[in-house]
Amino acid sequence: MNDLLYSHTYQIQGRDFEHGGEASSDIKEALKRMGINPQVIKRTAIASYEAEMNIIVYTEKGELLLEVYPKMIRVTATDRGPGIEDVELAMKEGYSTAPPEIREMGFGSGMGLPNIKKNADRLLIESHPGKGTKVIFEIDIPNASV
Amino acid sequence: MRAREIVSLIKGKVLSGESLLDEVEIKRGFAADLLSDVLALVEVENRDVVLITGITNPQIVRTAVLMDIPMVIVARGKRVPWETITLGEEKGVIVVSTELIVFVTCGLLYKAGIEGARITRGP
Repeated sequence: MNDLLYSHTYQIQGRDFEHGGEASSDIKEALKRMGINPQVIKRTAIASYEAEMNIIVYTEKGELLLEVYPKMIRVTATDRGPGIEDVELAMKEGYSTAPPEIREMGFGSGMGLPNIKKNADRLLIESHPGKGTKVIFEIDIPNASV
Repeated sequence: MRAREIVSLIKGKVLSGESLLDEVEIKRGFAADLLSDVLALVEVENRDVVLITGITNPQIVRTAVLMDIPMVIVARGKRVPWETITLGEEKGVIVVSTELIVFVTCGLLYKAGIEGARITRGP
C-alpha cells in the first residue's frame, strides 16, 4: 500500500466559479492516462468535483491532493475555510448552508458530501470550526487494474 | 437520434461543438437544474445522454465532461455566458440554447423517441 504510483496537488481558488471543476477534469484525464478502470475513474471524478466545488463555494482557498496506489486512489481535500459545525448533519442529503446565489448556480443543494460518500469506499471528514476542513476519501481499484 | 436532428427539433441555436453534430448520437435524456443530481444519478454508458437544464454557467460543461455527456441544452432562452461557450468548444461538448421551456423541450425529445437516462443505484 506504500508504493505510491502517482501524486499531484491542485490548488483551488475559492469563489472562482469559472474554473470550478478544472482540477477534477485534470484528475479524470490523469487517471485515464494511467489506464485505470473507467468506473473507478468516474467515481473518483464525481467525488473530487463535489469536494472541489465545496472549496470554491465555502472557502477562500484550498487544495486537492490526488494519490494513486496500486490498489486504491486517495483524494485529500484541504481548506482553511469556516469549517463544518455539525459533520453528521452535513452528511444528510438536502442539508445545506449555501446561500441562494450558489443554489442558482446548480450547487449547494446539500448533496455534496452525501455524493462523495456514495462514490467512495471510505470517507473521513476532519473539521475544526473557524480553522478549516479536511475531507479524505479512498476508492478501491478492483483487481489491480493499473 | 443525431444531435443535429435534436437541434432542429427544438429550434435550437448551436453555441459550441458545431463540428460534432453529425457524430453525436443521443438515445437518452436527463433534465436538472441541480448539477449535483446529475453527478449523483445519471448513468452514461455510451456517450448518448443529453442534459437539459436552465443553468448557464461553465459548470454545465464541466459536469458534462465528467459524466461523459456529449450534449447540453440550455432551455428558457437563457443567455449563455461566453465562458461557458468557449469551455464547451475547448472540451468538445455541444451546447445548444432554445427558447423552449424545459418541459416542452423534454416532451418533444420524448415524443421523438429519446428515453429517460438510466439512473445509477450507486457503486
